[in-house]
Amino acid sequence: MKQSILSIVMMTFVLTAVSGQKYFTKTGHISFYSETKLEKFDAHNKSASIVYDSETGKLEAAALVKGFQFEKALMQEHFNENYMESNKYPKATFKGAIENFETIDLTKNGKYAVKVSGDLTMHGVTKKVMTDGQIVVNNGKVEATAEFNVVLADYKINIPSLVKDQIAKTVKIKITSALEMLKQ
Amino acid sequence: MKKWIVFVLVAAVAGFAGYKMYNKKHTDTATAKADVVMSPQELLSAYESDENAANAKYLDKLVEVEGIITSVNAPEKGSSLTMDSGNPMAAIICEFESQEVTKTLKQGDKVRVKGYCTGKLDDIVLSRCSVVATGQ
Repeated sequence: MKQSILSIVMMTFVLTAVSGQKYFTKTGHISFYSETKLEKFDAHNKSASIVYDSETGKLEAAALVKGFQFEKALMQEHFNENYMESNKYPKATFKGAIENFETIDLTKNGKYAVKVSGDLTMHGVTKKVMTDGQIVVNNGKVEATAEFNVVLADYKINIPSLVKDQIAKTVKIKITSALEMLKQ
Repeated sequence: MKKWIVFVLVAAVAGFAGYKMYNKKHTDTATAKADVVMSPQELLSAYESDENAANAKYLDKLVEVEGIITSVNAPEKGSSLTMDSGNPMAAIICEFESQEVTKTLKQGDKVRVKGYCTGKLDDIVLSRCSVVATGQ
């Protein structure tokens, strides 16, 4: 009797563990890129965190604004101090979901086109974003990529008129990341 | 005439200064003096007890920490290592701009690094790190 109760308890435990499978990374790569006739710049962040729940499709990501590295020190200073005000708003976050998560099986090899939507918060402003991405599963390795554009004015990031020709009004954001299964 | 020469000189100096500033290099963490030397545990507990206060104190500061490496990663650009902080859910991530460290360091090694504190997500991130010392 005791044994059967124990085994039922064990079973439930195992089942919940399997059904709520989470994937994550702490070393997600986010880069952004913008180009005008006068100036082009790109910056990289190597320590973004991403958590994905394959059961519900929920997807959350976060990055430290000061973690974006520019080639030019002055640009990085301006980015932090004038545009993103990273002392006041140190994090950029995304909370959303993969809409077509039911069509994705991360335990099977393949290329999956994904539709992601959710709230992107940066510089103290939250906006809905929507983008297409891709997940590639290869022998247990999960690689996710997505690319989308952000209009700076949407996030109240003001470009002084003096340099408005150097800085594009829209920047392209690219996310590439390997996701690991969370061991429970 | 003289005035004209002075004007050209001033313009040249200003232009040069502007150009130098535009191309200013990132501070080299290898040669810069650390603002604060502490243990990974101290840094983490500062962030866990009051994140805003810790940000005010440590953001953009050159922080030197010593600890055991829990993993070494080589992403698309540069490399990073995670350092044990006593809490398995919140390590110290040390980012490097080159991939050099991944060739010489491995999991379990003791290392002393300094880098700019960029804040905490789950982990605390130090950017543009350089290795101060390895081993005992």
